[in-house]
Amino acid sequence: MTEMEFLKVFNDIEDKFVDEEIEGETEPLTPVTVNPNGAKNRFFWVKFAGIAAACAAVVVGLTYLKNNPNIAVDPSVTEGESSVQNNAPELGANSTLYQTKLNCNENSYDVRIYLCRDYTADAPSNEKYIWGDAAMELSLDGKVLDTMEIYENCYEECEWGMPFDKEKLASDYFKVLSMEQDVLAYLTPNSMLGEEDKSGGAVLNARFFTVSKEGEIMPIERYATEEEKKDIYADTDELQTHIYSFFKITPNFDTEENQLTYHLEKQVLNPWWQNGTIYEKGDFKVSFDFENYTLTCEDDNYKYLVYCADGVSRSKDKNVTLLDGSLAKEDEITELSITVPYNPYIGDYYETNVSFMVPFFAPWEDRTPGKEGKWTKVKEGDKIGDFDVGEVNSHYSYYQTSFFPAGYSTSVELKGELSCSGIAERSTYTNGASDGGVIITLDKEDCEKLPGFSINRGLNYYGVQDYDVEDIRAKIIIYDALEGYEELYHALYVQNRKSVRVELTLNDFFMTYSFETGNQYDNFAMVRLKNINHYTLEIAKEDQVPRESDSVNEEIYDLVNHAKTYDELKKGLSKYSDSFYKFVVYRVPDSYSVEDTGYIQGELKEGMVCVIFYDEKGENRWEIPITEKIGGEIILMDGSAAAENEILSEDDKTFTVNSCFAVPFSAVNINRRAWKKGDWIKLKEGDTFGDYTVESAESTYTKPSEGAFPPYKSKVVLSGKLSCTGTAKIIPSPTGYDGLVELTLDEDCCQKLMNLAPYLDNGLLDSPSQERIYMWLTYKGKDYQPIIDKLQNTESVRVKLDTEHFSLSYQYGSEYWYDGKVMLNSVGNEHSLEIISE
Amino acid sequence: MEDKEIIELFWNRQETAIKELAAKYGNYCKTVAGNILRNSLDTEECVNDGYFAVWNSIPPKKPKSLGAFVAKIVRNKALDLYGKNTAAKRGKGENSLLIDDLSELVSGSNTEQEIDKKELLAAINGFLDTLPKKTRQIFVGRYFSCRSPSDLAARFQTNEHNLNVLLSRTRQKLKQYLYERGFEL
Repeated sequence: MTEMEFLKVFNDIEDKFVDEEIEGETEPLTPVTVNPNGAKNRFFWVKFAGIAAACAAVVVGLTYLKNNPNIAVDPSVTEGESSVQNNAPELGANSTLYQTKLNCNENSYDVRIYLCRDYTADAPSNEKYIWGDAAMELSLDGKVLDTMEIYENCYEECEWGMPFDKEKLASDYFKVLSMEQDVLAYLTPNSMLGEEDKSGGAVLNARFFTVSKEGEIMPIERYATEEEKKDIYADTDELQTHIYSFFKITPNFDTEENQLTYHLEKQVLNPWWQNGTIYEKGDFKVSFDFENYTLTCEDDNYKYLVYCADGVSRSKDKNVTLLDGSLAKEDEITELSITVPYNPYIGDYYETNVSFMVPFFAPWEDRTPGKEGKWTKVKEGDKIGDFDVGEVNSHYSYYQTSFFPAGYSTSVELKGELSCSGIAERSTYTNGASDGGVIITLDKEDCEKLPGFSINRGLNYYGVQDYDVEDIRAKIIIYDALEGYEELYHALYVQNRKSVRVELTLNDFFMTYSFETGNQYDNFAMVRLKNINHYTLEIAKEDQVPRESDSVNEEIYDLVNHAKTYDELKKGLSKYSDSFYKFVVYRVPDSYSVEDTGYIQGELKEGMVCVIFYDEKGENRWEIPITEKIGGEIILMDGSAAAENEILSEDDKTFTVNSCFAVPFSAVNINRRAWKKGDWIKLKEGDTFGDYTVESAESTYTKPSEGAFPPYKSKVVLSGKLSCTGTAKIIPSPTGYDGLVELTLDEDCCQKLMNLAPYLDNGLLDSPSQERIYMWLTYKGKDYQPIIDKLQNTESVRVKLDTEHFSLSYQYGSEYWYDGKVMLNSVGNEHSLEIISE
Repeated sequence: MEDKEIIELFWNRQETAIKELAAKYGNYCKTVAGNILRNSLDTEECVNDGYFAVWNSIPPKKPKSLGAFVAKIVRNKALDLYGKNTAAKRGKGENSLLIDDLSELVSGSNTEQEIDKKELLAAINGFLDTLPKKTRQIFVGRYFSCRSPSDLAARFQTNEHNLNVLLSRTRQKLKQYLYERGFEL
């Protein structure tokens, strides 16, 4: 394979990997500009990440762009004018965030901190954060001497739409330390950075700035110690200088000359997974060197507390702590990467050749990390049940700032044969994304043959017990390249079954588990194939009797799909009463409120039929939603069933009926929902609507009609005098449609007509455009040329339309541009268009 | 602006859609195309072509990830243009590799044995899933965004040597991973 071929294949990697890569590249426009010539100047940046109390993974960045003119604060952008500003008007571009004086070099410098850009961001918990970058401006006697971007993407919680407390932000962030030279401390309390504050507020993050004799803003920095260099350069001969600019500061301290005396009021401990230092409460000193602009902790016992950006630092002789709280032996560590010690953004990463298991359905308390758990160490050569353990590896990676390892994954090869069965499902609940495979959930009794690796992570960042319910079963994904996939796909997507029983035989395979790795299957107990030749898959035979906790078998599916009436369905199902404790046929919404339907997957829609089966104990249940039809019924847009004589045609994919559904243009969204009752008016030939008579009506539906709104189209031909006005514009298009004129009917005209557009909430777009009715004028139209001529000189033209014979149509899911729009077409172009002046 | 809002602009055929797309993902697209083409004019043309292609694709498409969608289009165009630009050189016997360290992974010759690229892609995705996030970001940064090791070292606060070691190990792992699944590149 050539390099280019490989790179082309790599182009189609899953979107999530690209999204990860794009992180940090999608900065919105900012009035802070970087002079490319400044690249020669000293440039470095430090970023660090924390895991927010309310926002699972918020990257908080900090940028230094040193020396004027690297940063230019754009004076033309005034407060409140940020192009990306959103709901935070008081935090406009270049608004002054903080203002103070620094007494240095026998001068009194003015310092202003500008917020250079700002916007609010949604956090997963629906809280809002304000984000911004800040630049520091140093001036003397009104003359600007230097500017520096001192941080980016700082954030703070705010209430949605409420004024932001600028003073609170400023007081949280900045403090002047009065010493022989003043130092401006930029304080970042852990909570503001989204970090877990393990120190209980005993220490805060800080960066320090002072002013050089030349009148430049100088960050106080620190160079890597000899000990750190040993770690950094353990496997390289290269010598570089590492500079750090994060420090710790205690909330209470005294100042004198060039020193701060810290008062550590609480003991600071490392979490379970670290074997680092304990910092006892007490006082100690740090010294500023105003010649070299560096900072030194005078007490060795605390220096890594001060030097680290977080309350926990790595001890020099770092030991690797494993999941069970024990220290890894030397031969258990296969890779150890402390890329940049004491830099919390990078943190550590290590890989070991051991893993830890519990029995598959072990209680969650047994899975607690550390010594409280009941872990069994697993390594190559061990035996688990009938399996020999092959390759084992576990990855730990974490930021020093986070309470928990930022990422953990383990993979254990099991050698031996696993014969198992499970349920292949259409639904692909896998952390929100599907990569095209079919997921099979193994039966409980088969899972019991396997070791479990899932971790009880205790309280999560939302303060909620983090039970990992997905570990109830092991899952395996059958990708489309694998044997059996076609049959599964056919059964699930062509035959439209909700689930299919399968039998699998695996020879040598991996068990994997991970969390916080960005893996699509994070938190799932996964079985992964080792080799595509070492497995077989068969769809279970139809006569197989469903087992405990299984879904219904194919025979029942057939019955459900072919029953002509509900009674027939119920009768047919009754013969399975030995297999099931009971079953209930629901007709939504008739029975919706009668029984608890909370376990039903997916949205139940009006007109939907659902069969729910219970096991012997009446506890476990599973369901078959029958969304499309039963007993020959076709569910129409308003949720009703089509009568037999309404169906004009039907094939494998579509059916066409002799009606279409409209709502008055004034109908609100909730009254025009797809497949639901509302203000729908069924229109058929001969009906009247307002001043108009229906000449014909037709709608085409796509099977199946469950899930997202499938392709649909409807058209009604109307007769009656229509006289209306609208605005004509040339549609901007780079695709060859140049010259196409779109006429948007005025709202009052639309009100005379009707709306054919159903409201759908498919999670991406609230609804296709339905605000107006549109008409396209093409070259064929007799009145086209005068309008197009006029549009050469003006953006829009007011037009009056008269017709007595026209159609309204709507379609969704097509590739046409008018997809999602209600379109008016003049039948036979028998209309007149007149340019009007208003 | 949120992706779904930008997509809505495309659906509504608003010209501002491209402006917003460029504001949000333009930097990244230029980075990728620039890393491949190393020519600012070509890069600009390629990125603009990419926007045009997005305009033509949405609707009907509604990408789940707009960033990945546009990035893949731009990258693909950049690779095509790179191939075209270097064809003449190859004709003269010069063999310039876009990413030289890939020679450890691929043979460099046109494969006689037809590789099912869909299967290969599935395997690569599977492999990427196994990597720790940081390693994956570095790997994808190198082979998707075609970033140089020095760029990546700066981005991930490490030195170039360490980064090259990490990349080399990951390449070896991928090679082994693919080999075990029947792929010899």
